[in-house]
Amino acid sequence: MNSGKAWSIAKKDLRSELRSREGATTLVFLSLLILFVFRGILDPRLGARDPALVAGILWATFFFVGTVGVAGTYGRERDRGTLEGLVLAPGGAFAVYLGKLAATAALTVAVNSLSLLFLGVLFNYDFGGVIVLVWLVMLAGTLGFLSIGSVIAALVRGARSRDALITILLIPITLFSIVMPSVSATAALLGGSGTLTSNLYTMVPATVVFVALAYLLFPFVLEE
Amino acid sequence: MIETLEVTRQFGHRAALAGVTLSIPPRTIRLIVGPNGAGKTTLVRILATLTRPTGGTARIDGVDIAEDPEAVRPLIGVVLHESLLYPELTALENLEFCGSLYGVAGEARPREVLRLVGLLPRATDAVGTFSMGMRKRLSFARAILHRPKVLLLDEPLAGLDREGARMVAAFLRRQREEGMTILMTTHTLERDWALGDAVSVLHRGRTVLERTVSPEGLPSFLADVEARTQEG
Amino acid sequence: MKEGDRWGPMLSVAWLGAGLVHVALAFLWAPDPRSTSWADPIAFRIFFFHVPLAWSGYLAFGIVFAASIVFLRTRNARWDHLAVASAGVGVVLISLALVTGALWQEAETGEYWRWDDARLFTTFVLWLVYLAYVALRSTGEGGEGEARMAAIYGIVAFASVPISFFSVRLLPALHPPPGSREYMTPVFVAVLLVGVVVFTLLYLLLLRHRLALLKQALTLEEAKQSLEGA
Repeated sequence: MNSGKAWSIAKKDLRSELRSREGATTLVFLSLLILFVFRGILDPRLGARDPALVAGILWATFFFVGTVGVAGTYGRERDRGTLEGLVLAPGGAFAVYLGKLAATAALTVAVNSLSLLFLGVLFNYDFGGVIVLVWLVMLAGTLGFLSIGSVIAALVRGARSRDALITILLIPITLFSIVMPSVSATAALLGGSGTLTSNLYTMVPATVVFVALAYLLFPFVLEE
Repeated sequence: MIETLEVTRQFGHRAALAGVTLSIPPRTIRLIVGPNGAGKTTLVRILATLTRPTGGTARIDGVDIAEDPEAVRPLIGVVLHESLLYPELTALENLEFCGSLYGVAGEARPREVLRLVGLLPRATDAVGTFSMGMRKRLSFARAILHRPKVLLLDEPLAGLDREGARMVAAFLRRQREEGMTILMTTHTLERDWALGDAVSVLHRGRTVLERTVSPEGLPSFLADVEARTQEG
Repeated sequence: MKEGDRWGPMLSVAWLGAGLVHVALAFLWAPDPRSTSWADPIAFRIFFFHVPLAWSGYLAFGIVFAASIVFLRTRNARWDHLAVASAGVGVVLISLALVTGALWQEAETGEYWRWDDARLFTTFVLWLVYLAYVALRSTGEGGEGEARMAAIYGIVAFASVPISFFSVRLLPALHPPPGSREYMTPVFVAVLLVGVVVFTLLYLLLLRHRLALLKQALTLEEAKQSLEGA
């Protein structure tokens, strides 16, 4: 495994993103859209005082942003035919996985951070001092989600209706292992029931297992 | 330099390659000829370690492709139908990125290959602004950047005008002089035959003919190709 | 059925026989647990079908998982066929497991679902996995590409089920289903085991049937292609 390869790929991805802003624009708009929908359908009187509700809205947003983000990362490479170039280069498949995971995570975490801001504004919600911990949970959950999301996105990069397919494939795998614990941890931080640590105890090992699966399977994923 | 023995690529009852046997000596240009669907692209992809063969063996510079693809990759430079170039990055950035993947650091070598293909003036322009001919040339630059021993080219002359094809042919001959072994596919035998030191004909996934073609031998060769590729 | 097919009839007979025994046991012999906390003594018999159904649903996807691994290593299409067939049978079994589970739950507690029942919940996750797997296979790509994609997903998804299980166990407000310890009498367990055997046999029967159908479809496809002069 070549860490130089991973690092080069991560840098290239970020540079491409900064140059074209393709991915970021889509994701920011998506985030706003989802939050608008929630704002619209929820009774204004409910407000956003309920920690479970806020946590749920946040993570629904993070889930879809993460899915679209990772779909775009591999979708674009595949559509332009450039993914072969990464496979051809020495250094192995896992380096490709890591490099792209790093770049996608950076982009997604940035957009998710904006989502926290948007939600605060749209719902008049004040996170207070706990915002840092909420952000950290978002980080952990995003990394966990993307760790296996990358594998699935890369897997179905050539299939028909791949965007819908990615969502369908990711839900059974991540909803209960990553997303629900993240929601629960966030809700706990915002004042609801449950504990932070017990949820992290499941998310972290889950992420480790996902990365291990990626290590074993990514060479097969990149085949064609 | 490139040796294959009965390489196959099939799944279930469908076969893209049914038995390809080649022996390509170093410092030569080999033309792989066949109609669309004969398996030329599949063969290039297998040799490039992008697709795995389902049977047979293939070796590049003595290294078995199926057993040790990682060892083969630094030895080969590849030009495919799809350009491996990122349109939002400049020519130089594309080459520097490629270089970083192959352990070629810095700007010097990228600039050198850009000069070789006549693209140095456009080094800092985004590849998205390039014409198709320019992208092709940049693809060649990218392929030789890490000084591979073998070039695998899938229809490198496709879509080029006369002048472009002439330039590419000259470029390939120059690479051969410098020690490169080149495998290139084409479906226009009549135009490209002179470029190859030898020609292998692919029909329905099999190598059916292999010959060194001289100008005098061309008509009979073409007739043989006709005959062999009519059979079912 | 082909001439040399001895297994088919034998399996069918075995299944029928065991199935009748099982039904008889479940409805006639197993005692009414009036002494325990069961609300509805008749509905509890559903349990004898729910558990084996869930078991066979898990078995089926376990086969998908194993076949996927072997396929990735050997690239032999037969293992891919096994995975497809097993998934097809399993999705039905697991759906029935969910339905019977919900029915029983409703008779017991009045609600069709309890999110805090870890086992029922995991069956639900497996059901979602099945649906996703079937969705993946219905994109119509075919060939080695689809087989490879499905194999990788089969491995990842199966591995994620225990992860999901452990995640849910740690969620708050988790308590075991009512009377989970009290009813495990030897009689009860015996009937359950018979049920497991019955439904395993059923799974095998249906699997063979699906594999045969798949083979016929492939032969047809092959014949079509050679007629078209491909």
